[in-house]
Amino acid sequence: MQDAASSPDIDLMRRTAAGDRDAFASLYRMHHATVYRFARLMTGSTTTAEDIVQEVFLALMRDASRYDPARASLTTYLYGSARHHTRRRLLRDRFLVRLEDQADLCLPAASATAAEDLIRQRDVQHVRRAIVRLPARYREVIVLCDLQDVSYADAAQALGCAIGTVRSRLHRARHLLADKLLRGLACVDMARRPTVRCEV
Amino acid sequence: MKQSERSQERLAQSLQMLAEVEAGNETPARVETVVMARWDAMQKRRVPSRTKRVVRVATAMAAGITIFGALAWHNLTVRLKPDTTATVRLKPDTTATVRLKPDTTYTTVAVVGGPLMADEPIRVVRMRVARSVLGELGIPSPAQRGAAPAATVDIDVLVGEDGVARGVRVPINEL
Repeated sequence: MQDAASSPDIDLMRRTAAGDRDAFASLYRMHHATVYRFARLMTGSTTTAEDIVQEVFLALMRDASRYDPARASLTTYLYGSARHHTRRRLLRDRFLVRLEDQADLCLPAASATAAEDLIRQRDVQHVRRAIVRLPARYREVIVLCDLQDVSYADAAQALGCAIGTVRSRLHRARHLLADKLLRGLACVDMARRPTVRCEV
Repeated sequence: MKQSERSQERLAQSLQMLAEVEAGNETPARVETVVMARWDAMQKRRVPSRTKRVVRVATAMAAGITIFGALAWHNLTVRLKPDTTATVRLKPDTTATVRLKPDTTYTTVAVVGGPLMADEPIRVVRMRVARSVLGELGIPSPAQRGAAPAATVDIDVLVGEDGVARGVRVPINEL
């Protein structure tokens, strides 16, 4: 699991444990986006994702001395921590009704026309909602393996399960997601169908 | 192409699109500000690890000394207590006699209060009293034998647990 690319992480973690502010700031700048995207995709909320980023890095600064590079890379460790905090947060907020995040709707203009942008925005929003409605154990593997490009081995380590479990969950999750998208699009098509006036 | 393959392909495209959109998302700068502020606050509170270690060792040593002292004191008290009572209780001429005055011999115990039980713990109170008191207790005094007496005499009063005197004994050389 340990590779050459993560050796700067080890050094930064060692310095962070010793109380080096710059090292911690560097760690934050290197990894905050990864944690933020994971939390955002898992919760579907930007504000919750921001809270989770804070909690993950606060835990990191407290427990920096306990990090063991022989067990997992820092990225995997952060994914594991983010997963833990996300689950705790979702459990705590399960009785709350979330208002739509306006930030979710603001996507960068990537295509030429406004119409294409709108369609793209709608589709992305649709996929995002479908992912959030998946059970947590399936959502995690979709987010890690399909959206964050994490290897199966790293995902297994972050989730604390076997690689075979990751594979089977991913397979099941893709089917569930495809099914949800299909049903969702059918609903959209029904809504878009023009009204026909019946003449007697 | 089957229906399921088409849906999987469509799913892959959708996920690809979402991943591209998400790749541009960054944590707002205010989060970094908050996190670094918490770092600074934590560093201010943190006691240097060396000091912490010294304090821990000192605390452990102090606790050890206290426990050792308490145990030693307890053992000493327990060891001394039976000597005092045993001496007085049964044989006036044993340990207590030796400890106080090695060559002292006593009169027999004159009972003055309630009866002296066999295993009753008793304390000895040494008192200096007027020689005339001996006569009242029924102990023959030198005055009665015609010798020149001292005005006072040291006697041991045997006191029971209830604080009532059980008996009186007088060293022979005091008579």
